[in-house]
Amino acid sequence: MIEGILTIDHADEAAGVPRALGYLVPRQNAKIRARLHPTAIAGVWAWQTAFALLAAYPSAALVGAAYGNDPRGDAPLGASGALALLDFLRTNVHGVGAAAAGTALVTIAAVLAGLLPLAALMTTMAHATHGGHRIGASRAIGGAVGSGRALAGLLVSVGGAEALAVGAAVVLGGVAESSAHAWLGEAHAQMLAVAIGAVALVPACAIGVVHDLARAAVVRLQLGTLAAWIAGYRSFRAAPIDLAWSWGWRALASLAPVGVVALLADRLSWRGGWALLALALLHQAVVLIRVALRSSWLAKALRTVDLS
Amino acid sequence: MMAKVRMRRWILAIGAACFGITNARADRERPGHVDATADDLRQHAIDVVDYTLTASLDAATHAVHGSGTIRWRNTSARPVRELWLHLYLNAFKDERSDFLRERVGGRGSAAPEGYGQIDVRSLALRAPDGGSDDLLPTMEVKRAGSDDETDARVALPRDVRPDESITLEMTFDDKLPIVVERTGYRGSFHMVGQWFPKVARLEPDGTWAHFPFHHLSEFYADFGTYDVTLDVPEAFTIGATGPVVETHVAQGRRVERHVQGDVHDFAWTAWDQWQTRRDAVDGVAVTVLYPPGFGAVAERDLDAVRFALPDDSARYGRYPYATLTVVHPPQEAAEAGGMEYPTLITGDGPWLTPRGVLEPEIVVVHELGHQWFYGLVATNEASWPFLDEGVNQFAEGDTMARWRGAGSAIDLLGVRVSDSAVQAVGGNLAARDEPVAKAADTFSTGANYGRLVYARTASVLETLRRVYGDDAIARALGRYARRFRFEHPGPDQFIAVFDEVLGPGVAATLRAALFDKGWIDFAVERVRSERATHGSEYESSVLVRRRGTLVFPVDLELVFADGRRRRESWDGTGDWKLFESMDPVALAGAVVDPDERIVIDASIENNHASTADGGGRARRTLERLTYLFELALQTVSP
Repeated sequence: MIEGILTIDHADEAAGVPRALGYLVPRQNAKIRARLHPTAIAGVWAWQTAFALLAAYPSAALVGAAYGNDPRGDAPLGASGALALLDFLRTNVHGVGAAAAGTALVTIAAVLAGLLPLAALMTTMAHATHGGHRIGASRAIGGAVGSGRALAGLLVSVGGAEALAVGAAVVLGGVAESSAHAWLGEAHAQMLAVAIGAVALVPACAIGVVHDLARAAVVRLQLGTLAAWIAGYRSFRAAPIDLAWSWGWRALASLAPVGVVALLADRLSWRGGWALLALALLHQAVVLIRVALRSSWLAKALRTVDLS
Repeated sequence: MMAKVRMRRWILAIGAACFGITNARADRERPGHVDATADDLRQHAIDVVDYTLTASLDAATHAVHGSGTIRWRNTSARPVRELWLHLYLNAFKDERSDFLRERVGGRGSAAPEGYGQIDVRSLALRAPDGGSDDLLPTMEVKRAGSDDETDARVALPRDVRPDESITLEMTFDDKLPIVVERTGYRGSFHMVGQWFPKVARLEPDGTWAHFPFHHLSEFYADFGTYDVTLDVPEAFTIGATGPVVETHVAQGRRVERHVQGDVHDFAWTAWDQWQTRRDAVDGVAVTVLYPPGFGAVAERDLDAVRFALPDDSARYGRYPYATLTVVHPPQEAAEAGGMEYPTLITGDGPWLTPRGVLEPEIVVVHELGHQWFYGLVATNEASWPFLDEGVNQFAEGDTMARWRGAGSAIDLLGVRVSDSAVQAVGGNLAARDEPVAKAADTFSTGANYGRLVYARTASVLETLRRVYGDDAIARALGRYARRFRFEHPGPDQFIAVFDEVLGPGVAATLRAALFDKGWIDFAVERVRSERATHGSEYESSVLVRRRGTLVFPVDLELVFADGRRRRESWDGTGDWKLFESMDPVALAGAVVDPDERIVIDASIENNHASTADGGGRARRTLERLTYLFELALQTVSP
């Protein structure tokens, strides 16, 4: 079954026509909705949580070695004033460094491996069985594996493009500051630099949007890296305002729960027991909401490339 | 009749005295109050050296042309035949100065962008007959074996007897460096400190407290009156020590005369970009000078003054001057930031400093505290830097804690870091490396100087405050600051006040901590709890150790299996103490110093133990970090 799914026909790449994926058929455009795939969304959340746990574990183990036998648990590290926390960092400076290195490795692995659940989610949203039913996890993963090379190519190329965009923003800001310094003064020149830098970051956001559209093209249209970039760019050019709004409101909305829960977390403090459980549930709800909003945007991207 | 009047006066006097004593006692019992009233404060310093100077700034060449007189009085018990003049600006003359050769880290350690110097053009001793003796030929700027030119000896043609005064006439030229170590210029910004020939302090025994300008050392001088006329381009705004008593603009020049008595230094700034904000705080005319675009941070500076000025006055005796100027330099001239001069301090911090990062507030509170611990209590900063920087560092943390609570250094995104915690951890980094109480130029590195002089002193005093109470420490420091107002105390006088207020044991601890690298580490080594052989109770025991050379009383918190807690106390004497008890519930664990009073504890991690292996669990940490990494992954991953 998996072999069948991996058989991808690239004959009509440029036509922008949704392609069948072995046993799977393209889902009707209007039915590409994230809300129809809660299990897939939960799967992405679980994947991210698993990697985050892995990334957090070295540091948590270090704290556990120091405070595991404290009858208060690790609560002193969260006490107001942070004396115990700073003292812990002082006495464990090498351990913290080692834990940070471990975490960095896990993070890099997570970024690369994150392509798989992302592609599986998009495959799930974009395709159905011949009977019109939702595809199962194994088929979604199979489809994701098939898209892996193209998605990796997009990831590498977008990394370079984003680096160029951010670098240009920094350079433009720096040039603006140094040239305006003499007549505007230090603070106002820096404000100008920040403003120019912020404006220059708009292309970076646009590249991110096109990248997501290109991913959608890979999954929906079975395109290779270059063709997907072209398809993504054409889609963006066709409706830039609509796409910017669709991406922008979801990006902003995904910040809101972080802020709200941060305020609640401040009230719950570093208490243990039920308070800790409640906080953990709140935090995971935030993560889940953000995954859902991201999925919603990706569904929009899938619908967009199809129409283009 | 006369007898009756006398009697009535005696009764009134005794009544008033009793009333006064009663009031004093009530004051002592009031939190944060100190046992001296404003009337106890000395009103003026003994006038030793008066400067009458004129300084003209050439803003294009960044030169200051100075002239004027120094009237100096021999207040020692011996005749003197020489004078010592500090020429601090020569620290930046070339790479052969002690300052630039001693780059041990910290501020001023980067290669100078531009050198600066002071040239004394003329120096004469005014003779009683109206003539003068030229002293310039007798001035020895360099010592044998050293190319440093910051400490000049001037031979006098005759003895200056005790209580006799002499007047020196002089002219000098300053070439300001690009701003370094608190002084210099950047563009049209000028911060002018340590800019004139300054007479060293003559100690009562007739010895001169003179020294080259070392990399880590600051200053020391006698009190006097500074009458300084500043002459700058018209477009420039001036900030300076003391109030303006005359001002006029003529021929494109702005001239301001500033006069301030009872001080021991004079600094000024001039810039054509200064913005000004003014307020009256506790009866003091406060001016904040700040660059364009720094309005928000200038308001924060002013807020810090609004809190700290009356607070410090209440604790350490009323601020005696009419003016206070806060100079907030631009970040490109940040080397001028974070410095204290009499009635003029410099702040620090970028215009966009987040509200939760209290750097601007901390710097202002710190430098304002120096008006007492440096300004009014004028200790020798070169020989005993902990007496100004360290004591003031404690005062800073103490004031910030009263003002901003637990988040007195950082209060951002739910993270609250206190100023005193930062000091405690910094001090512990070097606690056993070198003593705290020693001369500035004898520290091995700039980092250790900062950790010990500033942080360790502050955290030792913070430990005393937490252990013996805020009132006791406020009383001790308040008494010290009041008693030695306009004086030049040394470490012995400082510790003697703690002896008076808190007793010889505490004074001995303080001395050991400052002079003998004193340290302490409480640790819970073992916790046991087993059902008694007979009966249903549990036999519990906790072994607590005190390592190190310092002694503090400490609490022990026993945590029982049902969640109840009980406190025990230990006077801290001896190397260890075994706490034993019979309880109806098993003991789960114990924590020594549960309220984090001993902030200088060498390790907090060993302050606890449990009867059962906790399995190394750190649930809160794991939960928080997992969430943070989830957010991070969502940001950086596809």
